[in-house]
Amino acid sequence: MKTILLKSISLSLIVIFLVTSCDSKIPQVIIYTSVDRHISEPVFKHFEQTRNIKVKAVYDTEANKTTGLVNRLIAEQHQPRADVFWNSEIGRTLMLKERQVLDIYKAPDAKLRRSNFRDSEHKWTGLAARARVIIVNTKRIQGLDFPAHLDAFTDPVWRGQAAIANPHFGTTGTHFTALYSLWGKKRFNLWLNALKNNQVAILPGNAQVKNKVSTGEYAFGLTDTDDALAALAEGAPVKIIFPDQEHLIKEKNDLGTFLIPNTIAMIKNAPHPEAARVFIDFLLAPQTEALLAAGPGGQIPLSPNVQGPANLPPISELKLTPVDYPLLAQNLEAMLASFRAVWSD
Amino acid sequence: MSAISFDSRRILSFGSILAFTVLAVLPILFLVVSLYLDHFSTPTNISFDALQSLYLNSLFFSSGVTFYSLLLGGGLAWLFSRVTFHYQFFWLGLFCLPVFIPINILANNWSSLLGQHTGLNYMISLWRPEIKTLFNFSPWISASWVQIMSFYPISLLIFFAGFQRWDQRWSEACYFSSHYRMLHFILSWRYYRHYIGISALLIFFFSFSDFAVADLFQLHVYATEIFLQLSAYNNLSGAIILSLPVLLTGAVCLFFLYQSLEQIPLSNESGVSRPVLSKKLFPIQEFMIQIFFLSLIIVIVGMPLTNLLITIDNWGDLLNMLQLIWQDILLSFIISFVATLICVLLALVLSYNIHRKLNALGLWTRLVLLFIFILPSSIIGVAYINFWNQPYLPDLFYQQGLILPFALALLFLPIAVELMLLQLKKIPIAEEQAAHLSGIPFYTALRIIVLPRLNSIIKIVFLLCFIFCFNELTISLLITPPGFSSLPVRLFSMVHYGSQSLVATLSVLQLLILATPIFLLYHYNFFLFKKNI
Repeated sequence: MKTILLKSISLSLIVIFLVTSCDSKIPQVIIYTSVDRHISEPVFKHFEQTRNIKVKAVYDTEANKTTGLVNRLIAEQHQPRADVFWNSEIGRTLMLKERQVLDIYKAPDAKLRRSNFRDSEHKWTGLAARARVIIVNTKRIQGLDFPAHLDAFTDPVWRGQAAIANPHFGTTGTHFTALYSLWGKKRFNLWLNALKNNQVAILPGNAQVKNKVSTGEYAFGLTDTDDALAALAEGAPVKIIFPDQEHLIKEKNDLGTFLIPNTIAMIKNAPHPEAARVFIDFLLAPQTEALLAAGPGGQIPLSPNVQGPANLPPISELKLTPVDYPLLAQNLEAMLASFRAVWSD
Repeated sequence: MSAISFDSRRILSFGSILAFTVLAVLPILFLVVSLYLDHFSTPTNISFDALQSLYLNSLFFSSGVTFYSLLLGGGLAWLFSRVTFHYQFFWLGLFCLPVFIPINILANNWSSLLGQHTGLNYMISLWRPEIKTLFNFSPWISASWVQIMSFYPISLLIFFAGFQRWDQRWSEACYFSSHYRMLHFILSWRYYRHYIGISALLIFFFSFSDFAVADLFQLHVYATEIFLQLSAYNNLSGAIILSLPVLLTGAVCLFFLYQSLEQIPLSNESGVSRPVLSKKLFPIQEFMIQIFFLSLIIVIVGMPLTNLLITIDNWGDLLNMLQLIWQDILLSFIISFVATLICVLLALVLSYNIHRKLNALGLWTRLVLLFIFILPSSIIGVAYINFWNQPYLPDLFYQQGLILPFALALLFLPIAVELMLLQLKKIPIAEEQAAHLSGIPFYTALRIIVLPRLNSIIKIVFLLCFIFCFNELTISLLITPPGFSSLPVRLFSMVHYGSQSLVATLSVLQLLILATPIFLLYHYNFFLFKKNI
């Protein structure tokens, strides 16, 4: 018995050694990504097939609010191991830029994008965006006007019937910081107070908002298009509303729908810089954005003349929330301080 | 004592301390020093008063969870070891099932089971539409329930190991006294207080440091604040500062435990005894026990498991999934197995070192271990990256993942050491001394005298560490080499984007993969030291 155990230990060690020490001669690129695996993996496979460069990916998970890789990138800063960071949103990319983790790269296709979807210092470029939308349970709200702007969350008619995700993390954090930057502290705090008084539920993440609206526990909630599309695909009785669109609310509105792009950035002192550039160019190419738009996440392309997801309106038809990204990075902590002050009262 | 045995003891002592220093002390010291030299900032966006209130709330909450987990686990362990009935192993396995399921999954499951419009409430509303919500618990109650359901198997297993070593002659000696019950209580307390202490310490800090359940029920607890410092503000030093009060609490608990362990324990010199209680003393029929177990198992294991099973739409997905992720499974299995072996071996030598006072660093080692146990695993992960991700070290260590099993082993080493110490205390030193005086080499004495007596606790430590390593997520995410993925990373990614059915399928798959070999291993007693002396 003892021999069997010793043999199995030795075998495990040998397997581990072999698995970890195998390093092929094919060129490779190391990508850290917080984009959901079922969306990013097909893109990696397509890249490997067309460019003959092996992708070694590290994925993040929602369980730690997709912040694990950001911590890893910061910890690895003195000896970087990643070549590219493909982030599913923008807030953490801005923070990495501030911490000097990112490198400059002028991607040829980056200039096709609007100026607010690329960094003025060329340290990141936006692509394939998600919109912040209102997901409505059509069984709970029958015979009533669907909530069509953010003020619906503070409307006493909907007291205790709406949900949002925790703004400490993810796209809700970025969205709230954008509102803070746009409105200023005073108006933002008033809005937060109104949210609290209207008993808006704070849930762990956007996926939970989608789930609880789908089951009818809440009448509507604020989430991302990919989650809302997933609810539709699951056959839930929900409808997606792009908030603060003038044609829907029939009044003048300065807010619009908030768009959160994926961001791609090269890591400073990346071990495989050439392969990293090839991958960034590949990802920013219109064909890749078309692939992402057609995929399960329904990402909205930021390149002009690329067909968007069939069940979402094109970006040209949307009124978008004006965003100053450098300001966004500066205001994140202040927004969280406001949120904490109001919510923990 | 012969020269050989003296040398062997020194080698063992020096080797274990050296390994511990390289694996634990240096990475953490390196991180603290580099943070101090870089920019050591205080916690962001939180006042002292708010922290104080959070700390007290969490203290109260975790104490409650600990108390009820001990009550449930201890009660069950007592029944399992004191009453002989059929299918004992089967029942014990069933009661241990919740520990195999990652706490996030278990929490999600209970949440959907007791949700306002889902699970039981939904079924009741179909039957009696006038009843809107029958089960409507406050988030604190729900979170406590989930944590108790997740942690009670830990106390069950530890108490079970303890009950196995109870010498029936102690009970029999009490029968001669007219104050049988009082005497028996005093003896039991002297024997079991160590098991109670260690179980309480482990469960309390598991509960205190758990972020997942609090997050699901949106409770703001102390662990949430540490997580926020790390993840929302990326303030590593802030998180370390916030861990210090927890460390202080742990140190106080450890001090009392240490004092208690220093008192003369009841030593079991003649091995295991399974008492068969007379009908007079324990007049419960076997049938009644089976009924009791059945009703309990339906509530605490059957319901969440059934909920998981009925969520699966297509059972064919189980096989498809297996084909898709067999590499992740294999990798998780190998890494967890190696990590568990490292953890058990290191715990064995460290605890022996501490207990037999082979050097003067025993108490310090325990304090460092406590610090490791209390520190969030993200910080340990970052400490490992800082220490091992160096240009002058071969890629094999960090880039190719050799340190991953070591990091996992380190994470659960404190649990393993405390449990081993618990059992070592029960082994009298006289036999070892006699062996040494007879010229028996040190390692031979260790093998034939000490190891067989640690049999039951080694099994428990192996089981717990393997499960914890297999389900661990944070360290895996921070240190896993590019291109590899473990099963928990896959599972928790899917919790976000996968359908409920797919998540349930993967959870069941993980449960089966983890539970089957362990049950087989234990069923056939496939272990190094079969016999107790």
